[in-house]
Amino acid sequence: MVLFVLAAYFVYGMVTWNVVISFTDWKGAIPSYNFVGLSNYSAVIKSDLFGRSLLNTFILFSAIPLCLAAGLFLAFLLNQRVKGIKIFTIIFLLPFAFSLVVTGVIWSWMFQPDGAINSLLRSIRLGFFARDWISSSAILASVLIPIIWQFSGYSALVLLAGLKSVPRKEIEKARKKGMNWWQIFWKVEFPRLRIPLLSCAVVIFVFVLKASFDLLWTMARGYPPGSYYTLPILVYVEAYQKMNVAYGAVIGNILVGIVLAIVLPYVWFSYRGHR
Amino acid sequence: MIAKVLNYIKKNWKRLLIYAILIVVTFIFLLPIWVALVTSLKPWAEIGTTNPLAPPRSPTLEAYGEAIEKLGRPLLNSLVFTTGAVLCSIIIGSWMGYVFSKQKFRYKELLFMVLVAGTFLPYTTIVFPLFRTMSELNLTYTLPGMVFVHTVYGIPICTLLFRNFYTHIPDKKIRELKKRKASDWEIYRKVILPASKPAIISVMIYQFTSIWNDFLFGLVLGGVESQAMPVTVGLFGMMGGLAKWNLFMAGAILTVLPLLVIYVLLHRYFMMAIMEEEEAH
Repeated sequence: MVLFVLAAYFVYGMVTWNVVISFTDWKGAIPSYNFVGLSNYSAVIKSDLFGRSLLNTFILFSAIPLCLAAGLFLAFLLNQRVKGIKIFTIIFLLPFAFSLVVTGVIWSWMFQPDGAINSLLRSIRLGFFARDWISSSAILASVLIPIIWQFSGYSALVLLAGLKSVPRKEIEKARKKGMNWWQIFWKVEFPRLRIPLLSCAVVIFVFVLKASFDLLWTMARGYPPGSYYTLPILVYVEAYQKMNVAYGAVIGNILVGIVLAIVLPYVWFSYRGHR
Repeated sequence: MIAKVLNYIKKNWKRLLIYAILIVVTFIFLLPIWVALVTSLKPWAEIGTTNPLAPPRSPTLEAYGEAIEKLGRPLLNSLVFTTGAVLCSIIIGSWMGYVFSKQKFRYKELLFMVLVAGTFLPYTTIVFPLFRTMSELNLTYTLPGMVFVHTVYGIPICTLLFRNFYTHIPDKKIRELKKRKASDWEIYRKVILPASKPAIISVMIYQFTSIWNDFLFGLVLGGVESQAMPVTVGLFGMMGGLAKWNLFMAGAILTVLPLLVIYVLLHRYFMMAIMEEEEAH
């Protein structure tokens, strides 16, 4: 019970503390708890960098459907009954074990103007695709690639379990009716993937939020803030680096609000589904 | 001969097509790792002058030497606090998992949901209050502090993983022991613990991976090298200087090496942990 309280305190206690701070005028190293109402909130919402970071965060969320689509493709491949398929499962999941900092460092090198990606594109005569992947105007789109590289193996594993749960009998039956593999996939297998897809999307949402700090903080160091700041980065910079404690708390709360708005309906839905 | 081959292709074209696609995808997945590896083995003179995809002309370990010089201490820090936190996580998680799977008390489901919901929270949001709390406990920039923070934030996920494993243990033996008025500890020791091996390995790998890979807590609470800086932060710090890509790649490979070893040996349990987590969510 003590342990439960400890864990709950370090999660919910901190969130509550943030809420309290967000209504005060705390700025700098010395705590200050003068109540200032909602003025911090209005200041944050009016600031350009906040709007930009919010937009950037939502741009990164496009990685979620991309990871799911890539994962679905991989799961479909891995569900084929050919020899040695397990090796491929292990390879696809490998990047998931990597630290996001390592991913960031490696892909920074891949993305260099004379780096591996451009060299590869030129050598297969796709040189016109070569570009400055890591420039400040491209980084936000480029970073989607390492995110997919890192997390699609995870969604493949989860969706593969979903595909495997489809009874063989139903597939045989569909085959006898003369359906081709695409119809079987779409009409028999896909409907059973709805719940794994949903839960996978929520988990990847959490991963992407983590990546939106770790990965961009590693890869975009020194770039103009507007080009890569996301909400987690903005919280870190305001609350911890610049000591604009109250502002940081406000942005943190807004981020918690966004997470709750997405996760709570899901938890509620799946809780009711279990009963 | 050619006719035989053609015949084989005709008969097995589906399987061959699947292999072809699998190999292309594998190539894409392994490409960054390959590039990192060859770059790390190149001398400084070959960086920027040779094709980044090509193997080194004169392979050398000089980048590794420099990387170990710079990351040696952070690697050691990471190893120490990760091991410590993993052990604490297993002990605490196993007990909590037992409590939440086999004991009966009021609001059990609700409390469990409250606990698990915490895993969805992005920890950047609470970085400042956490930093204040840790400095008041005098735990910033110390190895015990890193063990503490990783253990505490690991409680929800470890409880969840252990609970899921323990629900499969039949209640029969526990009921028998309860009739004989055995204590909770006795039940835990005699029934739960002997059945825990796969759960312990899974949680061990899961926690080792996520603690070793953590960046944020290390950045805020780890401090400098001589204190408790983890290897991820060390690698990040290295990137700030001159763009010595062979050094960075050597550092990146050293950073993932322990995980790679664990992953290759124990991937089965890693996948098990992932599936359990996913199911619970």
